[in-house]
Amino acid sequence: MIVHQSAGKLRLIETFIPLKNRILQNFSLIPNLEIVKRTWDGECAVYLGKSRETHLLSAPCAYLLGILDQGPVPFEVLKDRLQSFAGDANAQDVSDLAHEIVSTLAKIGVIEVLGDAS
Amino acid sequence: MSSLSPAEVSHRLAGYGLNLTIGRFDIALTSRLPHVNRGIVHLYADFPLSPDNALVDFRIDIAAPSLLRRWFRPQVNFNFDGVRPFKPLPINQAFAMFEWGLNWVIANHAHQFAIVHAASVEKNGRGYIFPGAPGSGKSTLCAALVCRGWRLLSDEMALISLTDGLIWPIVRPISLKNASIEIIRKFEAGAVLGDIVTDTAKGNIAHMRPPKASVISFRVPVAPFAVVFPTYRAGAKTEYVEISKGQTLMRLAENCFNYPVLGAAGFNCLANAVEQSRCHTAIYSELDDVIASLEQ
Repeated sequence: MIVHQSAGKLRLIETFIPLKNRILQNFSLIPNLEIVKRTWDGECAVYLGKSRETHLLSAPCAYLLGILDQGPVPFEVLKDRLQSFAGDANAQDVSDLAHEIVSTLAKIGVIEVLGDAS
Repeated sequence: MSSLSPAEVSHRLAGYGLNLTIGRFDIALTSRLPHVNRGIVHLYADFPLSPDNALVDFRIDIAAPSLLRRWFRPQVNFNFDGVRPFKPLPINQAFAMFEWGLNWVIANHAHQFAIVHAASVEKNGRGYIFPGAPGSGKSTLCAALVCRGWRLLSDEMALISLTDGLIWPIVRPISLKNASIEIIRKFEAGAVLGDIVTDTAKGNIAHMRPPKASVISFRVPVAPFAVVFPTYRAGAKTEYVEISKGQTLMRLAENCFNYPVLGAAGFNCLANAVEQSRCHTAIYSELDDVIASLEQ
């Protein structure tokens, strides 16, 4: 599944988030990104004023971005919300997708780890 | 222009310059080269001139680089406001260099617009944008459409205003390459083409004179109605596939010359254009078929 596409300057720096610790982590939008969004049929085009990059996010990715926009969220909550969004999809598939989305949002410089939710 | 004889055009080009108006821009052009003179007389015949003392947006000079190069493998330079942004080209490409250089000048200076690498035309008050890489067939399709009465807005770049969201015309000769030259000749016997210039970086090229009706209305903008990504494929049946607005926005951004300069204003401008447009890809081989489909 294509989670996102980019246009313009690509980020080459990846944010490293160890997978095994992810369920304990709180995620938050990076402040002052100067995000401009347009949503059509679930897809969300995002312009990041700070990096001057444009990304196209899939519907699940845009959905989680909307949740993160309201404040810091633990990974488990993101996963649960994605399960609700995905309906009766396989739980493992939803978990994998949540991991992928979080990685993607971190890679494009939209979210950061605040620390353990525990 | 049409009120001037070729000799008068030549006199002005060689002297204080010919002030051409192309939609939103006024250009002062000077050149002593017969290639440029011939191209201007032939292909810009229907264009108005701005007054000699008018302020102009761009000053362009097309000239031989040195005395030696006027005789030995003659070349031509493009000068813009005293700067030479390109290496010289063979002199037979002088008129084409004017056209290519003017594209560069506009793309690098007209930041009141989002400038998309696309042909754009109008029919019944609806603006159509055809973005596409070189070789996708956008200029051929554009030329065929204007031969069938559609209004030419631009062959090379769609200028979408950041302030009103409208597509502003920048009517100029349509650049046809390689096989497209013969295709358009056969498609419309009345099409007026300039000299065929061989062995350019783009292959053989010829420019087609824009219809007079398009020139007359080159100050009339139009709202975007459709974004269509054309692809010419020999033997293919005409096929339209709807694509998402998100995908369309990304592809427009990739084709937007000045997108990195415009920031969020460019994003919003393109997003607004996409929001009000039908978005499709179109594969075609028969011009009549694809035109009939677009007219439905």
